[in-house]
Amino acid sequence: MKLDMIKVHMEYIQFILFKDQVEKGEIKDSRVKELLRDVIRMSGLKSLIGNCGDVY
Amino acid sequence: MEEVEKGNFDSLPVMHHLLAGLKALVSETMMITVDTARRSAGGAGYQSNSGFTDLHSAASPIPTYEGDNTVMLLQSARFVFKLIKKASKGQALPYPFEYISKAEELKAIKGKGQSVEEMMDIEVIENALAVRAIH
Repeated sequence: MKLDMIKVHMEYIQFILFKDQVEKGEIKDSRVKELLRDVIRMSGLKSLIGNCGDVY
Repeated sequence: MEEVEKGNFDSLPVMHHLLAGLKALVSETMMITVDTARRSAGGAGYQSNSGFTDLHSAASPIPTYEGDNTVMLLQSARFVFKLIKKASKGQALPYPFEYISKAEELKAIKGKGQSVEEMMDIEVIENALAVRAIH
């Protein structure tokens, strides 16, 4: 129970840190940023597909 | 690093929490992925010339050494419980743990992510992950 809690917490923290780094980071080609946003979406959705019971 | 050199260790608990938790999470994912890759190669994955046997034997102790994953996760969890206590007293939480103090606000979100377009919104995904972690 405690381990499941901390795993989903760490996944959320990973998501937030990744998202903030992409948004704050300076990337010359704006298309790269959009691709990285897609990676953010995919990582978040993959995590939710694996375990989303608590969202309901 | 500059702060540590100056003798300021205020960020140490956060760093310990993040590093312990991420070590456990990343090494577990790595181990599962290496094993999946080995098995997806069929019987060849178990032959030494495939490279998977070396990879597997090099990777398999990582979840255990430098702190077993279960112990690392429990250490990481201890910090989260401290944050929950702080939040219940109304104290501000450091970045990126603010979501813990917004538990009621997050739980009140209803009816989001009902279409594909909505689920492609990063904010909706973020909130869904936060609600899952709050539970």
